[in-house]
Parts: sequence; structure tokens; C-alpha cells
Amino acid sequence: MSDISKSIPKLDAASKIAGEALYVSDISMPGMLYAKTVRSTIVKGKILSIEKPSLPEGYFIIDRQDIPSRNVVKIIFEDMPYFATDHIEHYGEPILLMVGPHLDMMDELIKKIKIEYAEATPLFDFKDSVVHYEYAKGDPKSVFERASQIIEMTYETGYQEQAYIEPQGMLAYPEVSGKMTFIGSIQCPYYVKNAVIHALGCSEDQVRVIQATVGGAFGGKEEFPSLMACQLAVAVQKAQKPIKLIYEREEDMEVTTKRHPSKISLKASVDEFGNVQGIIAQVSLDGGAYVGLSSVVLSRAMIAASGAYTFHHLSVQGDVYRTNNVPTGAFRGFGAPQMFFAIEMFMNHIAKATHQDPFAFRMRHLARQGDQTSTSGKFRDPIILEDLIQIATQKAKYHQKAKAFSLTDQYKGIGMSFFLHGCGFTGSGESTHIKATVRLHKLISDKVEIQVAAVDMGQGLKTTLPKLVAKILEIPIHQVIFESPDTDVVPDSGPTVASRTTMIVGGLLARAAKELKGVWQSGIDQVITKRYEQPSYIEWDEATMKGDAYPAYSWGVNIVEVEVDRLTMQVKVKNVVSAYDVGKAIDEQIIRGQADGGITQGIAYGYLEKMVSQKGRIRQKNMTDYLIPTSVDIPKMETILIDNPYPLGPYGAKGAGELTLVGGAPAVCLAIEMAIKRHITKIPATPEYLMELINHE
Amino acid sequence: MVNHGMPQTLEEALILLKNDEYQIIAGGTDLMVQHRHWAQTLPKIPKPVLFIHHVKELNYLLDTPEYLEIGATTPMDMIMSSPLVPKILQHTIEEIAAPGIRHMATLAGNIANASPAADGLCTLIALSADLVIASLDRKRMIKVEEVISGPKRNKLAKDEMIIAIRIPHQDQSMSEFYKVGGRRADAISKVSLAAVIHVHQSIITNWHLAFGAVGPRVVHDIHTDQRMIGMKIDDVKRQTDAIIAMYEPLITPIDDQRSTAVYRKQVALNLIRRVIINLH
Amino acid sequence: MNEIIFTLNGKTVSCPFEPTRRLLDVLRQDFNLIGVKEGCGEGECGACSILLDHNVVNSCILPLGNVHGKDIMTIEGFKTTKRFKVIEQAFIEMGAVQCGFCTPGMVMSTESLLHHNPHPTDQEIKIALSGNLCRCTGYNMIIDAVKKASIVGDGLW
Ligand SMILES: Cc1cc2nc3c(=O)[nH]c(=O)nc-3n(C[C@@H](O)[C@@H](O)[C@H](O)COP(=O)(O)OP(=O)(O)OC[C@H]3O[C@@H](n4cnc5c(N)ncnc54)[C@H](O)[C@@H]3O)c2cc1C
Ligand code: FES
Ligand code: FES
Repeated sequence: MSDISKSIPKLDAASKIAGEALYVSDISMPGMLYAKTVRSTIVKGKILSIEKPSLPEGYFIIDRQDIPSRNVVKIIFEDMPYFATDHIEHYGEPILLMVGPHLDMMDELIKKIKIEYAEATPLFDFKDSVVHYEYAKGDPKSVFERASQIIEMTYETGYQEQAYIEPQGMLAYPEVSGKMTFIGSIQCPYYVKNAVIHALGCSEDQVRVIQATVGGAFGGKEEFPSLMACQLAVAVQKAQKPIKLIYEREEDMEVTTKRHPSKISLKASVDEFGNVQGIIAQVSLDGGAYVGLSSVVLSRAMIAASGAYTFHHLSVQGDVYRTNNVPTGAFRGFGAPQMFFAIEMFMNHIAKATHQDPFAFRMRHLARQGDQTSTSGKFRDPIILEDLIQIATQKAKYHQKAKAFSLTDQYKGIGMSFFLHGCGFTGSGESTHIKATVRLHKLISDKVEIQVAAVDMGQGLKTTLPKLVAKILEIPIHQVIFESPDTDVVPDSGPTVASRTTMIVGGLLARAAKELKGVWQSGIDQVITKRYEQPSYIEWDEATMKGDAYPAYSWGVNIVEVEVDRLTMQVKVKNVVSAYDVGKAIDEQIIRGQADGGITQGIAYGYLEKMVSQKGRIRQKNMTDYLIPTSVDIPKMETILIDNPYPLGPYGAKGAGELTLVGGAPAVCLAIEMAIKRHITKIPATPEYLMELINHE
Repeated sequence: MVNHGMPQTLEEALILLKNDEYQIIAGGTDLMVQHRHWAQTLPKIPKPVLFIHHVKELNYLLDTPEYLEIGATTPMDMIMSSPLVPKILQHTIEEIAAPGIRHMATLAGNIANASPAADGLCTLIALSADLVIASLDRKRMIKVEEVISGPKRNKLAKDEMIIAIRIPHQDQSMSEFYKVGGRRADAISKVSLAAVIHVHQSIITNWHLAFGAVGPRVVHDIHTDQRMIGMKIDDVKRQTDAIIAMYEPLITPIDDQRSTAVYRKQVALNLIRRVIINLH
Repeated sequence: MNEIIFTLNGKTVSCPFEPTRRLLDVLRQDFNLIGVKEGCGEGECGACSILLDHNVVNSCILPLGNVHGKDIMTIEGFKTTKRFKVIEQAFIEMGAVQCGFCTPGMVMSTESLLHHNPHPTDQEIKIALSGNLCRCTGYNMIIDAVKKASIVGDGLW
């Protein structure tokens, strides 16, 4: 039997290349209306009055007065209204939808809407903590009392915009049965479905959600589409016609959720041998005006506080602050990129402050199998980080280059990051919140249909899941069908997030396929259903954040080489080498694609992608001002994969989607540090910031 | 209301301009972005539009003993790949936008749009280029920089249009365009510097520096440039700091969403240093 | 003038005289050519790339008035050609497609490049694709695919 990792052509590639794949904006229906959102033009205050024009036949205004049930988007923390209440909490908050058949007329009508506000003073500082978590390991207090040296640093990270090339979009229509159907660019069909049920107060069978081809998501289409769907649900109820809501690029960049800006203070107690005994960490995230799922982002960031290292004593505190900025939310990495930037820079800064060789210092602290995790769980499975480091450093000629660049004044640098990513939901999320269910349906034709709610948004599920199932069933892959999920057909296998799909959903499918194989009867309709069960050894206490935060971890090493222009401080990325342990690649080329794309976003997060909010308004609100890398910015990249099969993953697979983004920022920033011989404590490390560092030290 | 105009010849275009007020559109790469509204709606261009991109007689490159003339509708891509064009202008265009834009965009549009960050405009000013401007009644020639009155404002009369750009042949032993954008391709300049210089027997005989994105218009001060004429290379190198100090008051950038005033100023001055380091 | 006439995917077509309309809208709405995507509407992302007289252009900022008398090709017209097959195969083989939203535009830029330069270097490929943003792939596999197409399709361009 051939190795599962051996790549096959992606099953959905041809239709995308030919421009035939249907994204939501490509879908039209007879009698379809358009929707446009009217938003607040103030940051904080009260709506005093809304003057609406009289509407011609066929045009509708939908606002909170039309809401039949609850005006709140069902995400983890339910505080975001889908139409603004009297109180405006951020710029661009949706106030109403204008719906109608002709955009020009809608434009005219929108101009006639007069909204009067009483402005209030907005808050942008970290003052109003709405989520506070903390946990500890060992006895941090006493190691700090005994420390031979205490080192303290603060790190800051900025916004990052998902910048999927396809803007957010959703189409909703009433069916004759009275049911309402949604087709959208979404990551989580059941999140959308549940949010609508909640918003309309209707029954489950009245809502159907179908995924259109998704033009990139990266977390940005995790929770936000639920808001659009709730608005459309109310609109369709009123208009009783299909309605399409597609965001303009600027609108998307100005108001949809982005990566949380953070401030992370770290304190290390170092003993007389130069070893870190304990770390005290304080993580602050800007949650924006509504908390949404920020608490989950916070916990992932906090759990990453020990990086890829083992520290025996830890005290970690974290807060999500409510501000009057645009709400932040899910983005590939989910809190981990912020923390890994901080801890990797910190480890280097500690080594420098204690006059140690940073490489040797970091190697001494690496996490090993059997060690306690940050949350006092256990690294049960083999950790092959040292192998990854060895092969990556060899390929990148890390040691030779680091030596050469450190000594000279060439403005060249090479930086290396070590990192891990917990696969699946944090803590007991999988077993308590998600309870994934998958189904295999063998048809009379002996074709096998995969029924899961997992969404292919480019990461290759349309190929990897059929490949898994076909391989186990020992049937040709074309005998396996995997349509984009439709909640009327597929069970809730959970959202497509948290690097969980291959490991958890794929794992369940593998079990279902094995069972089906055992009972296979040609020419007969057969259905196999599987439900997630938490491995019995996993224990997690939500309140104290103690135990196994994740069932498994993927690991990685990134090495980035840069050259900095000494007159302009522009950074040129010269070379990238990465090594990963994702358990087992279900398809090697797909993993390499994830790796290339992930590290490109990660590196760009570190040195390029700048988005700031000024008095509550995003300043870089289009693709001209918010710069993501072009083909010319990215060098040839090399990726090494080392197998380290995880017993409970399908063929040993763990998560890979987010891992590849997490280490990019620290790797590029460590390289820049070496080049300019200054400490970097903020990302993005733009030329403007580097110039400041050069001038002021 | 006046209809949009689609003249086939220059004369037709000038007649239309004489009779009514139009917004000229060439490649449209500035205008269509500036006036864009929602998808599936018309851009909100406040005036009737005069389309000139397909006026064939304005699409040409012509070399004469004194100057190179570029017709107003010649797309950038064509200019970039012509051997007639000074290297510095080719390099400048290579750094403008991306192929899709360069196939439509024109230098005349780049000039008339009068952005302080316009790269083509910056280099043309350093090259001491002239504009041939025509209305139905007359034709006139002015220096490129004289047509710019402020950020996004030009001095063309309502019935006038640019019909050609003339780049005088001149001695230039060293001509360089340094663009500092936010990334390595397809980015608007944060700062730019076009330098057109000639050194004859170690003496500066021609010296023009034009700076982009460091003031309300492209910065070019002929008086300051003139002070360099006659200097020996060695003296220039020795007096680098003094020369930079001489240009310093001309550089008055602002903070915006792309960069900071402090950075822009320092980099602009550093780029002068780079010119002097590379001077030979 | 009351009509704008141009060649679209090999056929002569005419549109009502609305010269400031974005070509992108004309293609998607009037001709249902939905392979032409809108990612930004401001010339920045390249998802709307099409060919005008064999040169890649951004249809989202191209006024209809500027295509009068021109030859326009979209992915729908191009996909019937031999060259497309070669590019398609190379894109599949090299793993150049993830979400696919940038892909038709990438293909059009590839065709524009190879039409003018059948044997591009890596750097020339990068420059040719520099107006086509891809958020998924990090570009390496797309660049490899273009390279591959230029080799496999030797003689077609
Ligand atoms: C994605 C993108 C990236 C870009 N990157 C850069 C860059 O890196 N550097 C840079 O410099 N620019 C850049 N630009 C802007 C650049 O494309 C334009 O400045 C271009 O040169 C304008 O030419 P056009 O023919 O398209 O002008 P149009 O948009 O057609 O016109 C621009 C202005 O010029 C006027 N005009 C045009 N022709 C004439 C004429 N013959 N006589 C009188 N007035 C005239 C018009 O009325 C209008 O006011 C970019 C644009 C985009 C969309
Ligand atoms: S949609 Fe045309 S360039 Fe982005
Ligand atoms: S494949 Fe998703 S943007 Fe390129």
C-alpha cells in the first residue's frame, strides 16, 4: 500500500482554475434583492433619532425593531448585537440594512437617512477588563524570591487583518416550506445555523445553511458570518425574497473582526546557572467593543506562555479589555502568535541580558516528553523538536550564518523560532461544547458520501478527507463524494477551526470508514455515524486552567534570513527554512501549501502588515494601505516534514493549519535584531519602528 | 446634460473640450479608483467624461535630436519596454504598480493627477521634461513641474489637455530612481528620490534631485540643485553632510496611514547620501 | 455613439453606451462571466484580471469606454485553448490552488506573461504576478506552476 502522504491532484482544483467554482457573489436568484449596511459614523454615543425616508415599493429598511427574538449574535460571550442598540460602541456598528432591487436607488435612499447622535467619550486604553483568567504552576513566588537575577520585558503586537481575497458574503432566501436557507462564505455552518435559530427564536428545522466555495477565511469567517446571517434572517422574514449581502473591501477591512492587538509583560527569574526558574506573564488583549470569542483567544495565548520550553514555575494572568475599537476575533493561531512572539523574543533577550549564547540557552530549556505542560498537564507523546531543530539549522546553515552576521556590521541576520500548537479546542471544548458527529453514507451505487460540516476554505479538505476514507475502504477516491456541507444533510461535526478538522473530524471519519469496511455490503444503502469521545486520560479543569489543555501538539521550527537596508531600514526576506512535526501528513503537497501560506502570513505579521486604529477608526482600510506580501516579497521557502504519528489521529495526523503561522513573527524579528543589533519588542517591525530603534539607542 | 465623449482624433477631443467641461480619462487607473462606489454601480465621476485612451495619434514614442517625445496616451508598459526611453524612466515605471495597471496607465495621467507620491512625475521632473499642452486655439509648452499647483491639483485650463511629454536629451552619467514603498512591489511610495546627474572629468555638470511624498508636491528646487554644478566629486563626497543639510529645509513630509513624517524625512536625506555614495 | 462594441472571448459583442461602467460589472452581470472575480475593486488584488489585446489588465478599474474596439478575453474564453490546458495541468500538479479566488486572475497573468515571454526566469515570473495577491499559498507553488507551464508548453507561446 502506498504511503498516505504521497500527494494526489487536488480534487477541487480544476473547477477553481477554470473559474467555474461558485463563490457566494457568483450566485444569483430570480427576484433577488441586495442589502447594504448603514453603519454608525461615530465611535461611541447614543442614537438620538433615526429619520427614515419613505420607501418605494420593493425596498425595505431592517433594523432592531424588526427582530423577533434576541438582538445578540450567539458566539461564546453573547454581547454583540447584530443591529446596534441605542448605544453605539464602535465605529461602523451596523444600524440598519437597506434592502432592495436596485443599488442606485438604495444609495439614494441611504443618503436620505438621517441619524442623530449624542457622542460620548470613547475608551481605547486597557482599563475595562471584561475577562480575567489566571493560572499557576509550581511555586512561582518562591523562585522569584530566590532569583539570582530578574529580567523583565514588555512586548506589543498590532492588529492583523485576515485579508482573505474574497470579501465576506452571504445570500439568504425563503423556501416554500417556510424554511430559510443561507448560502455563505463561512467556516462554520452550524455556528451560523445556531445563531439564526437564536436570533429568530425559531425551531431547528426552519434554518438551513449551505457553504459556498470559500475564497479564504483564516479565522475571519468563523464568527463574523453569524452576524451577517442574523441580519439577513430578519430581512428575509420581512421581504420574503432572496437577499444577497456582499461586503465591499473597505467595509470588510474597516469593520470585520481582526487579530487582537496585545500587550504582554514577561518577568523571568534566573538562577545562578543562568537557567530560567520561573516566569510571570501578564497578557492583555484588546477585545474591541464586544467580547465575542475573545475569552478563548485569551486562554490560548495564556497557555502558550511557556512557548516550546518547560518552566517549572509559572504564574500567568490575562485580561481581555473592552474598548471602543472595532471588535477583534478569530485569526489563524488564535492568540498563540502574540504569545509566541513575546516568549521567543524574551528568551533571546534573557540570554543576552545574562551573557549567554542564545541558542544553547534556549536548547537547555526545551520541552521534553514527560514534562509537565504549562497548565500542569503532561506531554505524553514523543517530542521530536530537537530533530526538527537539527535538520532545519543544517539546511539553513544557521550556525555558520548566525556567527558571521553577529560579528559583522552587514545588516544581515538570521533568526529561529521554536513553537508548538495545541491541536483542537482548548480544554474540554471538544467534549463539552462541540461533541462532533460525523457520518458516512454508502449509497446503493457503492459510492460513499462523507457527511461532515467541515469546510474546505483552501486548506484541502475536499481532497484529504476523501483520500483518508478511500484509503481505509480501499476504494478509488472518485468513489468517495464530499460535497460542501449543507446542514440539512450533514451532522454537526463542529466548526472548521482550531486545527481540529483533520485530527478530530478526520479521526472520526477514519473510525467510521473502518467500521463500514467491516460491514460493507455491495449494492446496499448503509450509514455509519461516529461521535467524539474524549480520551479518558485527558483531564481539564476550566476554573483553574489546570490539566491537559490539548490532546496533542504539533511542533515546528522556522528559520528566516533577512537583509536590512541601512539607509531605509527596509527588510528583505532572503530565505526561509521550516521543519514541522504534524504527526503525519495526509497529503504532503497540501501540507507544504499550508506551510508556505502560513509562514508567509506569520512573517508578514512580524515585519510588514500594519494596521492601527486611530481614535477608533482603522487607518489602513484598503489593500493599497494594508500591505500583504506580493510574489516579489516572498523568497523560495523550504519545508521539512518529519513523521511523528499521533496514535489517535488518522494515520497519525495532528493539526497543521495554524501551526505554520505561529513562528513566523519571532523568526523574522530575531533575524532583524541580529541585523540591526537592537532589541525588538513590538510588531510589526516596520522600517519606521526600526529607524526609531536605530536613532534612540 | 452633456454626454460622455469618445473622440477618435485629437481634434475631435479638443473640440469637445472647447465646448463643454469634461473630466478627461486616459487609463482610468487613478480616476476609477478615486471615484469608485459600490460594486455593480457606476463610479461617481462628477463631470461628463472624455475618453482619450483610444486616440491613436497620441499613442507613440518619437525620438528627435533634441528630445524624446511620448504621446499622452502611450501606456506605461510600452514606454517601459522601449529602447528609446532613458533608463531611469524605465526603472521608474518598473516600480510603478503591477503589469495589469501598467498596461493601462499613462504618464500624462500620472502627471495630471498631481499626487506628491507619483513616481513617473518625480522622475520626469528630475529629467527636466516638458509638457506639450493643447487646446483648440493654441498649443503651449511648459515644464512638467510648472503644471502642478498642489496636491491633486494641476494648472490645466478647462479646454486644455496634455498631448505629449518631451524629455530633453541630456548628459547623464548617473541617473537613479530610489523608491521606498511599503513592500517590494505594487506599493505607493513612502518616499522616493529621482536623481539625474552628469559628471564630466570629475566635475558635476548636471544635477537634479526630485523627491516624492515628502511635501504637498514633488519637491524639486532648481536653485539648490544649481549649487552643485561645478563641484568636484571628491568635494561632494567630503561635504556630504553639508549637502544634505542644504536640502533639508525642502523636505517637509507629513504623517499618514503609510508612514511617518520623521521616517520620511530621514530616509529622504539618507537617499541623498546614497546618491553621493554611488556618485562616480 | 450609442453602443460600445468589442470582441469578447472571440465574439463581437455590443453594450449600451455606459462608458464609465466598470468592465468587471459588464462581464459578470451582462455576460455572466463569473470566473472574473472581485477582491478589492481598486486595482490592487488582481482577482479581476482579464486580457485586453493579450495584455493583462484589472477589469475592476477599467471603464467600458476604454474597451471599445478592443479584444477582451476572460478565463471563460481562455479555458478552451491548448495553452490553458497546459497552465491548468501545471497549476494542479504543483499545488498552486488553495481557496482558488485568486486563481483565474493568476492564470490570466500567466498567459499574459508567457505570450510576451515564453521562457521567463523566476524573477520575471514574480514580477508578472506581482499584481495578483494570493493570501493562501505564499506564492512559491504558483511560481513553480508557471515555470512548469513554460517548460511543458514550450512552443505553444
Ligand atoms: C493598484 C494601483 C497601484 C498604483 N501604483 C502606483 C505607483 O506605484 N506609483 C505611481 O506613481 N502611481 C501608481 N498608481 C497610480 C497610477 O496608476 C496613475 O497615476 C497613472 O499613471 C494614471 O494614469 P491613467 O492614464 O490611468 O490616468 P487616469 O486615471 O485616466 O487620469 C488621472 C488624471 O489625469 C488626468 N488626465 C489623464 N490624461 C490626461 C491628459 N492627456 N491631459 C490632461 N489630463 C489628463 C485625468 O483627468 C485625471 O485627473 C497606482 C494605481 C493603482 C490602481
Ligand atoms: S478586484 Fe480588481 S484588482 Fe482587486
Ligand atoms: S489560493 Fe486563496 S487567494 Fe490564492
